[in-house]
Amino acid sequence: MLRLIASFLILVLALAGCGDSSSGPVRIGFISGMTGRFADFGLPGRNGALLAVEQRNQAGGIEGRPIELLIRDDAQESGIAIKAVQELLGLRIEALIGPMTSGMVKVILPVTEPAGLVVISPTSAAVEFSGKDDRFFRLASTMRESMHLSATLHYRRGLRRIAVAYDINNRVFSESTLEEFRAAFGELGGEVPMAKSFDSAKPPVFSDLIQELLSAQPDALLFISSAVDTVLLAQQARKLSPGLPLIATEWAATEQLIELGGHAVEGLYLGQLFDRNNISSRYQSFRDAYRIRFQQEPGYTSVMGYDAASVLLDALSRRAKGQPLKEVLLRGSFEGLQQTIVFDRFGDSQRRIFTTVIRNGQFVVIE
Amino acid sequence: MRVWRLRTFLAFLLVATLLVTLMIVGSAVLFVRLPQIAEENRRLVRIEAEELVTRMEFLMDSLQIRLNPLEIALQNFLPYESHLLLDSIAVKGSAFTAVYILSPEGKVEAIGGASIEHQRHLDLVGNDMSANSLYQTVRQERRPIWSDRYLSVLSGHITIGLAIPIHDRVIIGEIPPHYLVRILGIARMLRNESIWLIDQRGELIGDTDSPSQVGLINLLGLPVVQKAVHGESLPGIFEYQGRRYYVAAQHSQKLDWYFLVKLPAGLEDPDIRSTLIMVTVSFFGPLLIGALLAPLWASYMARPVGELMERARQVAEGHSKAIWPRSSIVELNQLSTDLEHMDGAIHEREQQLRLLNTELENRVTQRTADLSQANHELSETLDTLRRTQRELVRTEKLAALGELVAGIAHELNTPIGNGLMAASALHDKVREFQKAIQEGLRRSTLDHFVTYAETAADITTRNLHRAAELVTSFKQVAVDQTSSQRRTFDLKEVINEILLTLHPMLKRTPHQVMMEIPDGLWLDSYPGPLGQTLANLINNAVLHAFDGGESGVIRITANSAGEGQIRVKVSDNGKGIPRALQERIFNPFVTTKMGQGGTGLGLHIAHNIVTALLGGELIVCSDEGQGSEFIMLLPEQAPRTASGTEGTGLPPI
Repeated sequence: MLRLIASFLILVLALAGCGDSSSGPVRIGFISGMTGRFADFGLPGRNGALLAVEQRNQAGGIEGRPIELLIRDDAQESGIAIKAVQELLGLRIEALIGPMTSGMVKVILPVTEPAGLVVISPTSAAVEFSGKDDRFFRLASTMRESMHLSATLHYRRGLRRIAVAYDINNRVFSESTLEEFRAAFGELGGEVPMAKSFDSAKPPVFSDLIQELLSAQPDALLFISSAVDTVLLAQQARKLSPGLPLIATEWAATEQLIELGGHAVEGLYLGQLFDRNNISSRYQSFRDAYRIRFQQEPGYTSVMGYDAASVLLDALSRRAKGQPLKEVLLRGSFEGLQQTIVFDRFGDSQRRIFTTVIRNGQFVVIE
Repeated sequence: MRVWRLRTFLAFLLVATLLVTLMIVGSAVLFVRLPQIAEENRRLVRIEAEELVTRMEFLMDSLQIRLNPLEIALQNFLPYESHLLLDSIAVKGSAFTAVYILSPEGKVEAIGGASIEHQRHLDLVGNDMSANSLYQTVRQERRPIWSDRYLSVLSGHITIGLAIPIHDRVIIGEIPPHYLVRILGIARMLRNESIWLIDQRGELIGDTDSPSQVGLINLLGLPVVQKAVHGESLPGIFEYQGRRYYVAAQHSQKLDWYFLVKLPAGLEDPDIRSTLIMVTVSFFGPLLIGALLAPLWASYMARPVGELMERARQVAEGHSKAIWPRSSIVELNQLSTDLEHMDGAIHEREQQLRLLNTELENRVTQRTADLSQANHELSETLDTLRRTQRELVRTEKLAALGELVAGIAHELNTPIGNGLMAASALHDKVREFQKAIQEGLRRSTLDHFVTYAETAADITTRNLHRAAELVTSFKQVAVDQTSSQRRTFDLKEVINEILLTLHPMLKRTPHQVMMEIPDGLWLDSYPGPLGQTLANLINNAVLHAFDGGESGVIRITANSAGEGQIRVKVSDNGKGIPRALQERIFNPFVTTKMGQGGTGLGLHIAHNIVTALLGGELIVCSDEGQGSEFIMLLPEQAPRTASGTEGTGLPPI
């Protein structure tokens, strides 16, 4: 109560005071789609980053300063994403983690680059951003490597005609992925007889879409789409042509794929950027902490989000006074949960890809 | 001490009294009322949390009841036939965006929803939902289950899912998160309350303050949420994003959600704020009125005093015979009457004083004339005295010269007398010798004469040489003394010559003068005045240092004092000088032998010569019975002043 009266008196007497930014918390932005169709992609990513920040804060923060993670939703819409990033810039963040999808990366880079903000995307994999000397860093390999692997594997399985459905709601990613696949598969002697686009923001009738793809008499179907759309497509494919091999991309590799897809996604092949069965103590202790904190299993975006935040926090700790963050990131190597992360001079890094197939409601790694 | 105007002082007094009173009353109100408000709000927030859960459970139950018709429908129709019923339940504007029936295998059998077109019905029917966690949970627990993280099969959005088991089938309804926020808005009762709806993972699933945060933030990082989730007791107040809240949490068993009810605390609390505003207004309001009225009141009080002051000033300026003011204050009237009397008395006394004053002025004029006369006479006397003093100094110098001449004469007397005697004796011998020649010169007589003549010539020559020497040195002294010439000289030589001139005078006294001066002390100065100074000092010692009959020693010593200075000391072993006398010994006309030949000018002149002409210092050191010392500190180079060429070498007195 004394405090109240004191504050009342202070209010009456004077209204003054200003904060010192260098002794306050270290602010880091996080942006991702956490509502809407790609929420399954964004939320575990947020959880991973949040866990890394909370653990670092418990260990004393960065040089005694606590870390504050400012979380914003891009809702997979350009206007919302740009507004959110501008708001974060106004809050003087040190760097930005996210966005998770390449489509949103393309939207925000024209805002963050002029502001000199370092952006680390945990999952963006579109070929478009590679080989550019800017302040954009990413942890995932481009889809070129992934599609090359995928094409080789399925060609070896004897598949020669693979029809594709791709979501242009994340056009930067899906179109380039399609082209990479087409090129890699074509080189091997395979063929993409048909590629149909759809917009997940205005969902089509999926049974019609599948029927159209089936008319090209493919050996298999490739879905370049999020988990929800992959499930919806897979459900129709199973109803219309049970037994047709199905393939998806890393974009769909969330825990919700199996939960939503059930039997429909059994036998589905897709790449993963981490190994769920990794037995390193580093990963196991992360998994335990994650399960306690969020009461669910970590997914691939959780791991990527955690790695992205860890890389950023390590870089901020290592940074000398006045040194640009970009320089620290480019020079060092950083310990991720399952692999060491090193950036090339364009801020791109190589991620090991695990090809998996869903069997009995589990992702099984194919050697 | 700070001085105030009466009006200011009175105004300040009134305002200060008001201020202190208001501060005491205001603080008392704050101290009593604020803790009461805080306690009341804490209680309120606790009760509200409990009641909110009941209300919310009731509202959610009512949603569940809406699915009841399906149970009856499923008993009578095939599942795919009930999609019209499903559409009617999930009609636009209702809580549900979609309702569907899952077969025992977990496949969609029928689906209804306002936003689902007919074509997409077909898309969805037959979809496999068996791996869905909500479906699995409800199959296990066989009771209605709410889930807040349910991924919609239609949109992929995160929604609130309600699953109800009916026989071996499951009905699932999807409710958008914003609907929950709306229900929270309806369920809340308190004016300023805000509610967080949190699931067991800490995810924010409802927020009445900022619905846009729903689904984005996980609050398990907050200690207060952790306590709530673990069923621990909460602190009464917690801070979030710089704001303070009263907080209470309640867990709904049925929904497995946590309700955190927050009421703004501190300055954000409207009750506390209104109390503070009230106190502030009742503080500053009267203060403002007081500040406006106090000067008016004070000037009303001060006006009669001002009139009295004005009247008193008139009296002071001499305007009398006006009317003294009267006011409504008894004491001031009394003061006015007294002042009137005083005015009369002052007037009377003034008359008397004026009379006395005139008289006094006359007297002062008279005295001034007398004084000016006396002053005139005194200055004339002073002039006379100055003249006399100069006369005396001149006389003194003449006397010194006289003594010098006497001394010279005396010294010359001996050699010349001797010479004369030898010459006259030789003259006698010559006459004897002439007589012997006439009588016949014997060889012995010639030898005797020659010997004698030789001796006489020798005596005469030596004495005349001596006389010539004396004359030479006297000449130097005389030239020095009379012309005050500046020249370079050896100190020992000059002092020797001076002692020589003093010799006749000293010979008449029983005292002895000793000189210990090393060779080679050269000065570029005025030997004449220096000699006079020394003569005066020696003369002073002879005259005053010793009582009659005793034989004393006067010692003259000199040495280099460094820094281009030479110290000359004239000391005696006489009776010393009394301390009182020492202080004024160099003043003119100070003598202990007035009327016995002392003029009292000797030391004065010595002092003047040393300080003014030779550019040195003369000091006296003496203890009674221990003798005296006069010490001259002389620069080797005397200052070049115009006075150095004056005849007397004496500075003006």
